[in-house]
Amino acid sequence: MKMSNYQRLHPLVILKKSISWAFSFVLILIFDTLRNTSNKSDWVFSITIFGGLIVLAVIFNTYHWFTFKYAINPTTLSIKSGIFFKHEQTIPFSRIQSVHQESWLLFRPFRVVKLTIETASSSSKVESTILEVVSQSTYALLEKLRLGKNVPADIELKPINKQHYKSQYSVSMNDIIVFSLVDFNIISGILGLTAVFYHFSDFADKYLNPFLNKIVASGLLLLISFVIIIVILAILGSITKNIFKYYKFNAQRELNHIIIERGFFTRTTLSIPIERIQAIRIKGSLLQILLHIKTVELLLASGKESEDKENAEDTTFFLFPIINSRLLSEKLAQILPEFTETIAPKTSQSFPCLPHYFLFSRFQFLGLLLLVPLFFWNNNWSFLLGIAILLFTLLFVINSLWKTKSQSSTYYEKQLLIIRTVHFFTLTEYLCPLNKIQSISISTTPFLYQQQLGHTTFSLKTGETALEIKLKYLSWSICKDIKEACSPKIRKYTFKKTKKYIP
Amino acid sequence: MNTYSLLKNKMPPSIKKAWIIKDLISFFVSIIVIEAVGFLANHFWHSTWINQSIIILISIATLITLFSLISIPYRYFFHRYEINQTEVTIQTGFFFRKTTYIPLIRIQHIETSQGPILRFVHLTELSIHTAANTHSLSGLDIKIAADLRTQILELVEVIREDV
Repeated sequence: MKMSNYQRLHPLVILKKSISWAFSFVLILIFDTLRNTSNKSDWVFSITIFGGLIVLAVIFNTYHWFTFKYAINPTTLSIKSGIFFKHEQTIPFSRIQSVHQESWLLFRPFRVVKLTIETASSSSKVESTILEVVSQSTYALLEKLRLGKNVPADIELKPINKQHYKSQYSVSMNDIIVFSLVDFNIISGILGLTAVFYHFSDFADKYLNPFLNKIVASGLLLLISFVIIIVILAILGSITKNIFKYYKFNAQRELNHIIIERGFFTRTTLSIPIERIQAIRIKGSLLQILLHIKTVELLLASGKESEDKENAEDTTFFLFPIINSRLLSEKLAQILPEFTETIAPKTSQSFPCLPHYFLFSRFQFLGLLLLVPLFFWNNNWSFLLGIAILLFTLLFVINSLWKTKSQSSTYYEKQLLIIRTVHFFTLTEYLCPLNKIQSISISTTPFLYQQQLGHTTFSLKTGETALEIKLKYLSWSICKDIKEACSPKIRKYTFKKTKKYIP
Repeated sequence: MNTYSLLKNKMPPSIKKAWIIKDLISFFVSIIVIEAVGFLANHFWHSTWINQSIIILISIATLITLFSLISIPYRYFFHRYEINQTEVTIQTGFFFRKTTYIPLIRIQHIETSQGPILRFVHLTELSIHTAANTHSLSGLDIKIAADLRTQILELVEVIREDV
């Protein structure tokens, strides 16, 4: 490749980086001024230091902008950086796991975006290359080359033509609100807030007891209204967060890639090659099942790591954040026909997973042992605690009964394995392509083996960790059958007993 | 009831020696650590609880080591592996029996490592990395490890697949 192909990032990167650095300095500044507000000269001093730091940030980022160069070649992406320690990196397009495009609301008039290119470079580490601020046409060029449309690099590119894409799945505002309401996050948020509240109420109880006794009637009313306000605030917060996150959510199929767009403030565009999808997870919590809706996620070998806390939970890629369960198979067949039953309706084989109610729930009864110390410990709380223990045991027993009832696995010849289990009151269905199952283990104990029972565990790669899906208490022959069906078949291979490879 | 099917290959018998040495070393190290902490605690505080807890901890360590030493023949008997044309199979455990099947084409790379104990008994540890996780065979002959490597190299020529 010629040197002239290399180009720098958009100069706005200096501004963006410096602003984000300045934000982190502001926190220090605030702490510093809070520490000593009365002394004026101290105040001026910290402002001066702050200014100096910003100047340093600008200088450093300018240097970084000046030395960082990238080039998009017909089959690879090359990156050069540094003056003293020169670093050069070449990424073949075939190794790319996914491409993210994020555009800031403020930078949208300038037609610039942030690109994150992810590769699964080694077995445990996920590596991503970030082009902080590049013009939008770079993404279009990269995508065209990756998707196999042969465009010479020097041809002037038109911005992406929106009419050309056929939208196949989108989320309405109504859906987002329903999604936020049934999301588990909201429940945990409320629990967290009430925990904080109870913590403070305990504190109040200790120190303000005499005062509280006087206004106990009005205080109780205040308490309840306070709790209600907290709940409403948590719900509203969750809804607004999700509206901004899934604003104009859109998933579509483009050749052998899936393209997902979402977001209001930062518009994110994800492009994922189909053959890089490790599995698809379809989740339905108890509430969702009652409302006939489901959530579909893509599991990838790379998990997007974001620097800022705001997007820390961005490791799951929603394909359909919320979808009617009746529509699900139809939509999935449109966008991902590889993962549906339509591929091979005749060659499917279902492995029976008979329910074992007692085996599944037996360890949950151990929770009842907690009642024994409670019996000796005389306190007015012990009755309540006992009831709580009983309720939790009942809950876990019901969960495990549901788990054993809904466990199932279906095999589609040479393609797909569908596994259904229950995790924490959430019915989860995994659609795993057979060639993504990394290993299978069968485990048992002498006691279980006597009854010809065993567990089967499938390992898949998701993000930086392994995903283990376990089917429990299957009959031993079924375990063997599943293993036999899922292990890769290799033909035309004869193992030569030669030693020529040993040096 | 039919008997639990075991795989073909056992570890080399010298692995038992390595396990015994490992158990004894960890036993002595834990005794030394317990005694050292107890000595320091006695130096700074004065309580009868310290000496009592030292005795309890030492007896726990002794029991664990004894159990581990007694179970070595069982561990040896149930720790097996098999390599065929398509997959590596590893079997472990007497109470919690587990058989793991790793297809050869899913193997990303193989790592051999040899600590001082394994070097003493002339064995190597073999770690098999797939994209998802790592499986290890705790002791293998150097020759068998080389054989396995050859087999996988041959297979890589036949079929190549990505994560």
